[in-house]
Amino acid sequence: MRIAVASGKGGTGKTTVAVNLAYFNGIDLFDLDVEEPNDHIFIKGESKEETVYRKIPKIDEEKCDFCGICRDVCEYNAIVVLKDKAYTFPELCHSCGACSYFCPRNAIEEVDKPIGKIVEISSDIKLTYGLLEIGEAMPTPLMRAVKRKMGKKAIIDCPPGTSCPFVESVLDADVCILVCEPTPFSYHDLKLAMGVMKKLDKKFGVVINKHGLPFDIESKIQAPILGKIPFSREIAEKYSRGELLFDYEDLFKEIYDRAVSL
Amino acid sequence: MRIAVSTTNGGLDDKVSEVFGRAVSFTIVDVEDGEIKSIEVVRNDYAVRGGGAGIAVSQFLADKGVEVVLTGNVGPNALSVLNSAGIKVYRAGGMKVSEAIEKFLKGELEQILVPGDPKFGRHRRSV
Repeated sequence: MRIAVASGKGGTGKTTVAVNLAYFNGIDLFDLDVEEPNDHIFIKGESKEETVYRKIPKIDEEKCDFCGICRDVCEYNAIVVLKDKAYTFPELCHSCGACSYFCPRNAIEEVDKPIGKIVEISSDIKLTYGLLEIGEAMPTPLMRAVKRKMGKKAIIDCPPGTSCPFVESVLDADVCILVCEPTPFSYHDLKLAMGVMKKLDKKFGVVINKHGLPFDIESKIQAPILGKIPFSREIAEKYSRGELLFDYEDLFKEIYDRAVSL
Repeated sequence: MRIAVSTTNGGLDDKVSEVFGRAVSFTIVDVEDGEIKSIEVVRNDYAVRGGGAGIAVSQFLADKGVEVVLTGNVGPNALSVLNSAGIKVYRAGGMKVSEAIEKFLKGELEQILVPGDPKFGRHRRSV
C-alpha cells in the first residue's frame, strides 16, 4: 500500500509523520517535495544520484520558414515567431511536444533540458527524493520521474498546498494521511485538502500534530483521526536536530495500522 | 508610423496603463506627418490567460506592424521580444494617451531599455 502524507498548510508536521512512519514500519520513503526536500536530514546513508531531463523545442532556423504554426499551437506562449526569427522561452514550455509534432517543415527538434536530480539514499529504509534545479518553474515532471521508482509499498512525503504538486503527489497513493495542527489556519487549509481528497475519491484520515494547543480542531474534523502527536518542546528539539522520535515508535505503528485499515 | 499604447478602456482620452502584458486593451494609432490618421482599440485577450502574457502581446503587436510602444512598465520577456521585432518602447505610464503620443512625437519620452520586474502586472490588471 502507498500512503501519502500531506497537509494543505505547510509546517504542520508532514515530514515528522512521513519519516517516522516510514522508519518505524520499515517502508521505503519518497520525498516528493522536490522544491524543498528535507527527509534526507532524518534518513542518512550512502547516496546515488541521477539527472532528470525534460524535452524543450529547439528550432532549426535553416529549415524554419517562420510560418508560425508552432507558436499558434503552443498553449503557454513559449514560442515567438517574427518575420525572420523564431525563438523559444524554455521556462514557459510545458514539454507537451505539440510544436514539433505540428511543424510542417520538421524544423523543431526536442532536446533535453536538465530539470533536477533524483537522489537515492540507502539506510535502514530506502529514501528516494527529487531535487529541482533552481529556477525551474514546474516541479511535476521531476515528481513523476521520482514516482517511477516507487513500488507497491511506499510512504510519500508530499509538498504543502493543494495545487498541482500536491495533486501529483497523492495521485498514486492508496490512502492519504492529512497532517494538521490545532490552529485556525491549519483547519482552513485542512478543509481545502479534504475537498481535494473527495474530488479525487481518495481514502484519507487525519493526524493531529502539536495536540494540546488551545484551538479545538478535533471536534470540527469530519474524518477518521488516525493519531495525535503531543505539542512538546522535546519533539521540536529532536526534529530540529534531525532525529527520529524513538519514544513514539508505538504511536507511528498505530497510525500506520489505522491508515492501512481505512 | 504605427504606435501601440497600453490602455484600459482605450482611446485618446484614456490613460496609459502602468502594465504592458496584462493591460486591458491596446490603443493602436497610425501617425502620418505628425497627425493621427486612425485609431483602433484592441482588447487584450492575453491578459486573463496564464503565463507569458507579455510575450504573446508582443508577438501580437509585432504581427500588427507596430513600430513603437508607449506603456508604464515592461517585463524582461516582453522587452526581449519587442527588441527582436525592432519595436521601440517608451515610458508614458499614467499620462493621457493623446498627450503621451504628442510627447513621443516631440521626442520627450524616455526610451525603456531595461526591463522592469517580471510578473509586475500579474495581479494588477485593473491599474
